[in-house]
Amino acid sequence: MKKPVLKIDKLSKSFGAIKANDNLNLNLFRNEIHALIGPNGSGKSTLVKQISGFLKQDSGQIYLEEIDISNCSAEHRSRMGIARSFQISSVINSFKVIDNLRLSLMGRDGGYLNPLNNIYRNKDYSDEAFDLLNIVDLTNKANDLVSTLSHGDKRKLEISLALSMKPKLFLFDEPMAGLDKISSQLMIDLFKKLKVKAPILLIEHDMESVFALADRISVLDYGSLIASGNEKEIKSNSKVQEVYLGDEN
Amino acid sequence: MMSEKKLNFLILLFLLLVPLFSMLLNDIYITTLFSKIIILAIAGIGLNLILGYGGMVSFGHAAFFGLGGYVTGILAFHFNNYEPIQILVFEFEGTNQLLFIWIFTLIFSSILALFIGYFSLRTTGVYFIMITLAFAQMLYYFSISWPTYGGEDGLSLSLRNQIPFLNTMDPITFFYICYVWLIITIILVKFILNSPLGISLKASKENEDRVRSVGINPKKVKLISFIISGAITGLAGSLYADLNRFVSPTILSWQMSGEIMILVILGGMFRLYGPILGAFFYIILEQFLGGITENWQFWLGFIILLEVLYAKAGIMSFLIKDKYDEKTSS
Ligand SMILES: Nc1ncnc2c1ncn2[C@@H]1O[C@H](COP(=O)(O)OP(=O)(O)OP(=O)(O)O)[C@@H](O)[C@H]1O
Ligand SMILES: [Mg+2]
Repeated sequence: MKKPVLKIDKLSKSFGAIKANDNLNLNLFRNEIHALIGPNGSGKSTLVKQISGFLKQDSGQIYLEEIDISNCSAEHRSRMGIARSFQISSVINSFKVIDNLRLSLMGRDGGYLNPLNNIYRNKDYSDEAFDLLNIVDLTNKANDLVSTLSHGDKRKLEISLALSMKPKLFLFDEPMAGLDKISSQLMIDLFKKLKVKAPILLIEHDMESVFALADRISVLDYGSLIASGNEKEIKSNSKVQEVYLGDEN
Repeated sequence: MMSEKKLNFLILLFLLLVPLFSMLLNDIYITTLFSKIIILAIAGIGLNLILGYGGMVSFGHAAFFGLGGYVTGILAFHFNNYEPIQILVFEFEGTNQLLFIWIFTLIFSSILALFIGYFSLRTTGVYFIMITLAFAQMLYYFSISWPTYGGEDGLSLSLRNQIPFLNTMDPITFFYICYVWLIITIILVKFILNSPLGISLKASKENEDRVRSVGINPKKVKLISFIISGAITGLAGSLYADLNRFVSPTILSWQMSGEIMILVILGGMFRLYGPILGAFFYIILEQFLGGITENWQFWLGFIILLEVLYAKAGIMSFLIKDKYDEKTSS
């Protein structure tokens, strides 16, 4: 048996009467893109927030390479190797593009309390930051203020920030939402390359992208997993047709 | 209109020459007045580290200012009385040596800031304002009700505390002691703002989620900044006690917290030298408007209202050309 990089065991989370995640089991293996789809409000983001530690589960466990991380703080999980992107772009707008990366590199190294670590002069950081920007095709905007970037460029920056953490896995929450065709295609090509470095749990509404990328697809509805399988299995699943694919395709 | 660097340089140069003007005008009171301005500026720079750069609206910085004052007053009081301070079985006869007093002040205000910060930083927004205020008010009422050190009447020092080879009673010498502390504070805060801590602080102010997702604990960053801020303001309180040779509960009052905050806002948050200009204009307004009308604070309020409406970045923004808005702070 292959060991999963990420294993989610009977995870539940409610908001009042709403069961946002109901007894979820899910895992993520090396070299795969596991897509998570489902209607609005089905609990996809809630799951990402719990895995990344921004939201505390009501019950259940989360394992990263067999280590129980269910009670670790979000910042700790980030350093342990869980990198996420946010459904709504979340970057430091008042910083330059390159300084966002410097911030994450020093966070990764845990050097943020070392007063002698001058991140503006640290050549390793600069070099690594430019390499990362190169991957997402943003080097020409390195010294731009993030607040002046387009939506698409902020998305790219977010991906490079996730990448900068040298993570064990990626959690991408609708990374292609609002992107034009060209940028989406760039993301798709990028993710295919990224999954070799670390597996991806991908939340995405655009089914074309999902089918282009996913090795495995799980479908969430009202907080419960209703199906899991490859493209063919998902397309032919009657329940999935009914709650999700039916009204889209 | 000039660059920020040039304005900063002119501010420091002007302050350096204040005793000279004072002698030329044959009015030593000017030097003393500017000592007060510098001390309030130090307190303001301390507050601004967390207010302007960290987005933490502390309405309780009088706690640190007052603690610094009382540490200074109490150590000198015991030294002068030959009555040692008794803590359990230990006895300590106090001191009038400023170098020791400053170290004690920094230690005590850091500890207080750790305590207040630890609890206050569990909240944000209005709750943070209220809880910092509440802590300061507790100290205020405690100081009033503790008769050993004068209670409501406060505590007078017969002489200023001392530094070997210097005559601290000389207004010009004391002015330059304050000036040196101002320079130290500026260098320290500037260093912090460009250090990983300062960068994490600015990032945390804008977006805690992003900061956490790159592995940085924003609470820790804020707490450490809060401690440094409290220590700086505490040191200013110590200097203030020596300047006046007097401490009283007034320096722990919410009005004191308000004063420090107002001068920061007046001068310009988000700028290192803002609180210096703020303190300058605050004291000048107090002196001149205070001479003309009893209700000078009404007019101060009016001026601040205008500022908030038309010049959010404070007086600094009128004087320098690189127009600043909060978005360009990195
Ligand atoms: N902080 C919260 N407080 C209360 N209810 C919440 C909270 N966050 C999410 N919910 C509710 O939980 C359910 C799941 O929300 P979630 O954001 O996880 O859905 P989603 O699948 O990501 O949807 P979308 O596709 O629109 O992003 C929704 O009914 C939502 O209203
Ligand atoms: Mg969502």
